[in-house]
Amino acid sequence: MTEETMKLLVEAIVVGDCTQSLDLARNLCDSGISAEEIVVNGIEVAMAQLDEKCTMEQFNLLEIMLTGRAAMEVIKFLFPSGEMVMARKGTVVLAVLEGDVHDIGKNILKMILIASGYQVVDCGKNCPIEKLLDVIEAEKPIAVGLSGLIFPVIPMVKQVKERMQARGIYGPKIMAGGAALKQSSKENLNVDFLAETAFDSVKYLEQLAGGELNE
Amino acid sequence: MPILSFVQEEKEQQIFFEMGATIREILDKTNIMATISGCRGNGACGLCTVQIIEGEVNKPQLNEQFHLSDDQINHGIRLACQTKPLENVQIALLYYVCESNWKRIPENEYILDTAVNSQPLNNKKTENKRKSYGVSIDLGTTNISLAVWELGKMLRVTDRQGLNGQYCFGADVMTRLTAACESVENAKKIAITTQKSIEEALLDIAIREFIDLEAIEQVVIVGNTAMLTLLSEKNYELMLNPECWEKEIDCQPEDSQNWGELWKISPEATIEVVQPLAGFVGSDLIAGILATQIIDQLDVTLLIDFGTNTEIALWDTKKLWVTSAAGGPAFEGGGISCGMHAKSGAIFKIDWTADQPDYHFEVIGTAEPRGICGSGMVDAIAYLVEQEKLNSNGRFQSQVTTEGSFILDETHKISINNHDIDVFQRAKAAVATGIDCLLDNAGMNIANIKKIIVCGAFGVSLNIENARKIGLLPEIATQNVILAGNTALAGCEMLLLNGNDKDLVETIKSKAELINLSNYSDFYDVFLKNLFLKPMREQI
Repeated sequence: MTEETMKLLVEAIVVGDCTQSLDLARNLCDSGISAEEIVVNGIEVAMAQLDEKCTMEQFNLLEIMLTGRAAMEVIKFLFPSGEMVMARKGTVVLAVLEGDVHDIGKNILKMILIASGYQVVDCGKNCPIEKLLDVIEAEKPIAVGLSGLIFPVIPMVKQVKERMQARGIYGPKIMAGGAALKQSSKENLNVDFLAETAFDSVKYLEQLAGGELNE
Repeated sequence: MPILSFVQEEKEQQIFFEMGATIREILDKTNIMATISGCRGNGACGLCTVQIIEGEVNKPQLNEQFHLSDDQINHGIRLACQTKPLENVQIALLYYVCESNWKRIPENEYILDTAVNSQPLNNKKTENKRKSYGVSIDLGTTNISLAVWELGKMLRVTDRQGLNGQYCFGADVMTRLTAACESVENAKKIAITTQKSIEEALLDIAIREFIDLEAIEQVVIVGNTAMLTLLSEKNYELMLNPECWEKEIDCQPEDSQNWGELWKISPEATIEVVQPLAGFVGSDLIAGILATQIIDQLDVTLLIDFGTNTEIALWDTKKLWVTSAAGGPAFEGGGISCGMHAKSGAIFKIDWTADQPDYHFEVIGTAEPRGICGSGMVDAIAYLVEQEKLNSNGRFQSQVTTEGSFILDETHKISINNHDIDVFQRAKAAVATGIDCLLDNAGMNIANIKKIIVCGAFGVSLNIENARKIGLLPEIATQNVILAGNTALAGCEMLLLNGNDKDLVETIKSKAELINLSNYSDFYDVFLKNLFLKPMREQI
């Protein structure tokens, strides 16, 4: 019974039906399913399906935003205090650096990461590097995600790793993505990973967790 | 309609014409620009010789007998400007003229009449004495448009439109600005490229319309702010800083005299660059506002100038709220698999009846279809949504696609895929969000808008009903939507004829309130709402 409901929840999130998703999540809670289970077997499964649906030629921004919104609504319902008790996969810091004010890409990554079980600290758009470094220092993330839609932001992205290391921070991996950045290379940007889509970043993080990329 | 046919550069050309027109007038109406002339087409120069190969024409005129021998006339040789075909006619051009990069602006793209522009556009009877001319230039990212006026007579002599040579530094503004910021030499090259494009256009006018460039006494230039900074080699680096987009940016050239020398116009000529409102609102928009007289309207009026950056202005009868939405080049056919500019071979119009799955489309020019332009995309998407082949999320029903694409024209391999729809959705959502943002700021909603003015070439062949169906334009009666064409050039001409009257611009500036869309707190939610292929409604 609950298995069936969980399946319906996955479907409702994938099609982005907020009301339906919330109703189903409420049903599951009422039948004693824990919030953690709903996240792992519901939201995260929905995210994986969205990933499959979003191969390059099938990508549709609206559908991703709708799914993201439904997933966020369910998370908000499950964790009304806003405390992501279950950021069990670690923290990721996101930013759109100074010179760029386009943050839809970053917001989508944020939703996907949260829905996939990561804690996200969002530095917003047009963010100075110093501010980003302060946040990295305080939050000790496993990775930093930089999104950029326009080319002028590239010189900013290039500086991040060096300036981070100058402060003695070596831990977090740096991921980059977005229309302008993905036309460059990870060597040129001096980052650890260059993502084609938001889902690529999630896969990369999962590989990190699996220890596959540790030197 | 009868047809005039001839071969040009090994291409067979056929032109339909109205009886009573001379061969030169017929040739001039097209964009082939096949005529040559040393005069204004009154038979004075004798250069435009053609041979009539087949078909009946009017009798040789007196002034032709002055230029042509009896032998020539017996062999069917005539002057194009004096010869009127009386039926289908085949001719051979006896002069060599290569196809020009600079074309007349299609009449349907120049709809607005400036108040003084009531005289006929081509007055051929004027004498060629020493005159003084003025040139208005609209400097666009893709195209440059120019109009030449004879100042004393307030007579519009001709116009031209062609590519801004800067495209070789990148199709979009950001790429060009970045290139300019890399080195002073780059910036110089970019500036000179545009100055040369203008030179080329002026030369084309000089050769084909017999205008003495040295008689050009005044030049007025409008354009988007990025183009103006690149032209003047000044402050272009500020354009890369989002904080400057709302600020005034000085684009006044230090030394425009150089341009005058390059263009070979009068050494005393004044060259003026109309200053933009701010980083993201160029003087092209000021000119458009001037030409459409939007701030004189008694009703709430919305002006939309579609482009890669769509400028939007909302006149609430007291204040002019202005913003710019960067939606990408979809309206110009960019980023779309079979997309193309609204040029020959572009599908620009699609018709269908609601209860039948068939449709038929129209193509620009006589060429075979090569792709689909912005207005064609609007029709295609409206058709697909109405026929329920595409849902309002922008996803195709699986049975209507072949390998993920909807085949629009099998023979010419023109199709639309999910990615194309996605790109278009983002572009239209950006514009709709801009409109919502201005309405919010003015404390209004869509129902308050009484009139919409759509500017730019994209707007000219826009099907208003279809645009409404998919949420590209607010829902408002078709008769209250004005497709105004190239308003920037028209406004620039008004400025030229008013001696670049600063007050005209100042009045607009004093009423304008600039809104930066990236500071819109509801952006994300409003953008999401506007991604749907549905009519724009008040907030869901």
